[in-house]
Amino acid sequence: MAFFKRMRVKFHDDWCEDCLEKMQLVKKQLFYMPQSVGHYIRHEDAAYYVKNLIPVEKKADIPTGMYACGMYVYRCMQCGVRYVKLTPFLPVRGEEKNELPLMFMKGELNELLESI
Amino acid sequence: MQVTNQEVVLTIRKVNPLYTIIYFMVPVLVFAVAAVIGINYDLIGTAAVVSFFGPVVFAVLWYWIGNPLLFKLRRKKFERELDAMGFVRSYTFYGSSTITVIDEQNANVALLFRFHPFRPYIFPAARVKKAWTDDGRMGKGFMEGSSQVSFIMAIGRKKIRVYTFRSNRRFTMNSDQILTGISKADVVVEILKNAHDRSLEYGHNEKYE
Repeated sequence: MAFFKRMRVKFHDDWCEDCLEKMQLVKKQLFYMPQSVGHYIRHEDAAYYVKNLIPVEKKADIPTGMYACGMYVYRCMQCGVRYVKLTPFLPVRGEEKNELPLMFMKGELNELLESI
Repeated sequence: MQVTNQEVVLTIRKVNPLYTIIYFMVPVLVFAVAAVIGINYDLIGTAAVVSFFGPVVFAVLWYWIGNPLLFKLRRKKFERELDAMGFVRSYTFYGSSTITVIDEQNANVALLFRFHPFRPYIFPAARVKKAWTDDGRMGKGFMEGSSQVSFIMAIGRKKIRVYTFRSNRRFTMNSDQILTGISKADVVVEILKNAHDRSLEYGHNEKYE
C-alpha cells in the first residue's frame, strides 16, 4: 500500500511526503506579480516572491498584460508540516496562461504568509 | 514634447512603392545581368559557376538579411531621433513590420514601417480614432482557433494592423500562443486609448486631414 501511496504523492502537490496523506488546504490568496506579458522570468528564489508579491482581492484587480500569482497553503493534519504552492499565471480575458508552479516546503514564504 | 497639429503628416503610407520595387527588383536585375553575361561571353569553369551561383547567393542574402538589417538599423536611428526630440518612449511594440512607440506623458504616437523605413510618422494620439484587438478567431466547434492576433489602429481612413502573433498553424483560442498575443495586443490598445484621452485633454485635433 505504501508503494502506491508514494506513487500518488509523486503526482500530487497536496500530499505530505512524510505521512503520505492528503493535506488540507488552509489558505489561498491571489497576488499581483510585477512581470509583464512577454517578459516572464521564472524565479526559484523565495525571496523574490516575498519582496514582490502584492495581495489583491480578485483577478480584475490585475492590470492588463501583468502577471498574477495564486498561493495555496496546505497543512498536513498528521505531522503539521506546511507546504506553499505558487501558481504564476497571466490573466487574459477570463482565461489563464499558466506557468510552471513552484513548491516551497521549508517555510521560505513564512514572512509573506504573516504579512497577509 | 508637444506635437502640434501643423506638424502632423497628411497621410500615413505603410509602403513606399519605390523602396519596395527596388527591394524586390534588385536581385532580379542581378540575375538578368548575370544571364546576359553568361550568354554573351560563353563563360566556362569558375566564371560560369560564379555567374550562376553568385546571383543566387546575393538574392538569398538580400531578401533574408538585407531588409531586416536595414529595418533594425533604421529602428535604432528612429529611437535615437525620438529621444533627441524629447519623445518619452513609455511603451514600444516591436512588430515584425511596424514599430509602434507611444509617449503616454505627452500623448503622442510614433510609427515606423518595414517597407517605408525612411519615413517615421509622429502624431498626437488623438488622431488614433479607434484601436482594438483582433484575435483572428475562425472556424467553429473543435475547429475553432486562430493563427494570428493583432491590434488595429484606425487613423483617419487608414487602418494600421500590427501583428502580435502570427503562425502558419492554427492554435486553439486558449493556447498559450494566442493568449499571449491577445494580452500583448490588449496592452497596446489600452495604452493607446489612455493616450488618446489625454491627447484630447491637451487640445489636440482629432480629425485626420
